Amino acid sequence: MKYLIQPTLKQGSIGTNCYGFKESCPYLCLSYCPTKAVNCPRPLGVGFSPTANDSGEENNVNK
Amino acid sequence: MNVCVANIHASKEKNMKPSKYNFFKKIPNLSSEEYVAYNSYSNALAILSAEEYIEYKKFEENNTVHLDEELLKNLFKGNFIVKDETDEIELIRERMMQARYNSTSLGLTIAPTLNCNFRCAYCYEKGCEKDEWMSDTIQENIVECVKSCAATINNLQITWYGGEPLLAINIIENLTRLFKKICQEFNIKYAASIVTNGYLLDFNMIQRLIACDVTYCQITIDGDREEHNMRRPHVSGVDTYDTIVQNVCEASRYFRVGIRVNIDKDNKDAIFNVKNSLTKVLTENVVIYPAPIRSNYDCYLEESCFKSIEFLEFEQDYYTSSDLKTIMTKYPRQQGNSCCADSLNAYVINSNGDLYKCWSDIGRKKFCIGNIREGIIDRTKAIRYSKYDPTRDPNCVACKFLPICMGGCPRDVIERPNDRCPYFDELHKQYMVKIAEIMTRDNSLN
Repeated sequence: MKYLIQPTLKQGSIGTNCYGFKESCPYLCLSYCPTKAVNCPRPLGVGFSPTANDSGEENNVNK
Repeated sequence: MNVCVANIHASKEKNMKPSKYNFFKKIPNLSSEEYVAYNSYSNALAILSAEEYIEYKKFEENNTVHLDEELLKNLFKGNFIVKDETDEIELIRERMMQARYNSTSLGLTIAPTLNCNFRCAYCYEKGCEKDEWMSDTIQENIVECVKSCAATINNLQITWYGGEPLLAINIIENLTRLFKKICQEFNIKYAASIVTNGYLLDFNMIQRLIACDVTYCQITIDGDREEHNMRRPHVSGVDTYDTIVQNVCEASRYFRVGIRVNIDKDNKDAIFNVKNSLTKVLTENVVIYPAPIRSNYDCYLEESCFKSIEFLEFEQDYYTSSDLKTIMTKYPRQQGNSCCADSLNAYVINSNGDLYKCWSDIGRKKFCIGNIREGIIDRTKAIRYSKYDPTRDPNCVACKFLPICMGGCPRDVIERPNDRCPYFDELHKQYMVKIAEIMTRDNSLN
């Protein structure tokens, strides 16, 4: 068994393993960086915070 | 403080059971038979050999079957198997509560004006546009509000919103200066993003936004030149496409840009047109993604809009033919809560100081929960989106996507309860396989 994206079982670890943002990541994404091929699990980024609305595809406003 | 939820080790399988949140799919087109394994609680993705998969399946049928020690350890690590006494629903509920009632972050979506220089065909704020700008007093009230939270928060996250926020860049600059001063004093991490139509985002404006610590921009382009100009005209009637494309190219040199392509049944090719015409001129900082047009507040013809499942099927062609960066936007994230609507410490602030919980509600008095001077006035409206608990909804409890969906958009839970599921089992597995294939290929090239 080989992990491509490591499990995330810790909560509130703000970007500690995040490749792109490293310690400066302000987003409470509850996720670790899955791959060095991209900056973060969701490159749109903004939607990471549980306190912010997504500026990603899950944002349901016609803007 | 970081809390390790599973600070335990698997030693033997006799007290273990399979997780409710496992997905497996055979990877096609490989010489050796392998399976992709995804767990929606841990959000982990792994590859299993055929032998390992068969061994796991035997365990799934009968959990007294002996598992190889290394495999057991690995399956446990990714939550594919859990201790017998584990109640995964309880854990998900606890995660939800932590996220919803987290008071260490403050998220503000601020519309310095509802005025807009565009007249988009589908705008849900139609009729709410006003030649109204956030007054100095309202700005001071917002700053006071942030100050009052400063001692207890670690993060301040601002989204500049509108109307068109760049029409009010002076207000953005003034508020940013004051926010950053507070953040510096209280050692708070500051982050800002903006949702803009991009028309005013020239070199000078980009530099001003950089000075405001804006690191992410959402800009909409709705197809090729002709299509976009028809759907997103300037208030004066002039075309907007060329100016926006030029601005996006420049902006992507400085910060991350999400190009949103709004899709309905009449412009299905738009996402491919945007991708084909822009991919070569944009930098690595850009992600292009399709988004379904909604008929919120009857702003658009319902029959032109995709149902959730229709849209998921539509976007499949786009994502499965994309590179890793693009398809990774389909990789789920663990959800505690959904968005600012169901989060205690997040508000949408209108230019007149009115407070809302959902972006879609801005400017509609019916959904106003209070104002920045007096705080929350109507508690019933304030909890409109957070009183729903997906961990007590029988449909969601039975669903394997619960940890990454959490019931979907809180507004949809109320307004369109039967058309809100953002996942579809077979498509999700296809995305996981595609991502695994690309990552395996890329790793082998390194």
